[in-house]
Amino acid sequence: MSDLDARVAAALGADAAPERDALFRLDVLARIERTRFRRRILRTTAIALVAAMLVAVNAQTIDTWIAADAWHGWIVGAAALVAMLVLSGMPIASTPGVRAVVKVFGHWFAR
Amino acid sequence: MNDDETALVAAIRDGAPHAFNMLIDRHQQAVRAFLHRLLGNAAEADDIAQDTFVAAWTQVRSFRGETSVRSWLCGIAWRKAKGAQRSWARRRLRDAVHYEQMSASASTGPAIEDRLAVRQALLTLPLEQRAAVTLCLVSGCSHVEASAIMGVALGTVKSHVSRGRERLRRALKEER
Repeated sequence: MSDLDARVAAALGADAAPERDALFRLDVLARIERTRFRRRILRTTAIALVAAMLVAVNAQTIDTWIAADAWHGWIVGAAALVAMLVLSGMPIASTPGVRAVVKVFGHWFAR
Repeated sequence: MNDDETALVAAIRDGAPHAFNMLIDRHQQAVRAFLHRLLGNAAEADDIAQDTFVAAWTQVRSFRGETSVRSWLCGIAWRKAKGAQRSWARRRLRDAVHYEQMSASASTGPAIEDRLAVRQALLTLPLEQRAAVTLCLVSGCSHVEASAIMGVALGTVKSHVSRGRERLRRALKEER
């Protein structure tokens, strides 16, 4: 390698980024979190829109089904509650009380 | 791709918490150096480097391991830099000289005059030629790796590197 080549290589290699850079890593992880959050919001919005449209289109059918039996009203209410929890991003299994209710229902169905 | 890198990529796919941190630590220097020399601006380079790692995180499931992880990352960085070219090209001339003078005067190493001459000469090269020179002379990629990263023929890369190196040598000679 000639002297000129060595000088070119040295000049090009100067001011390199540090071998480890915690700040850079944190910036990347923050961007990833923002990307995840944006995706979650978009997915939730899309699901909510589709659910709202389905309910609107089938409103009369649902209404008739609820009127047929008092239990149907409770079932629709429970479904709406679960949908709200899911759409809010709350993990149902870790929601206080819900785990206990699921356990009771589990035992009840197992009998 | 060696076994260590295969295991690291597999761990990232499985969602291991520290695997992606390790990937960043291992390859950030190479990606940032490539982008810094390519764009001539450290802030712009770091911005695109961060985007590159976010894209890598998103696309890790589609990485088939046909190239090394560094080549894969540099390929993403190259495509992002090309896409961002329009926006930074206008700012480049205004900012690059100022930035390079600041960074050259603030650090130690080779002669400041050499660094300024080489970097200014580098910025005058066409983007593709600059990328080939940077990959082969700064990031230590082989010609074959550089051609895979840039998606151009091997002969084109060799010619870009040869011409680019000659241009940089000429800049140093003139600076003498």
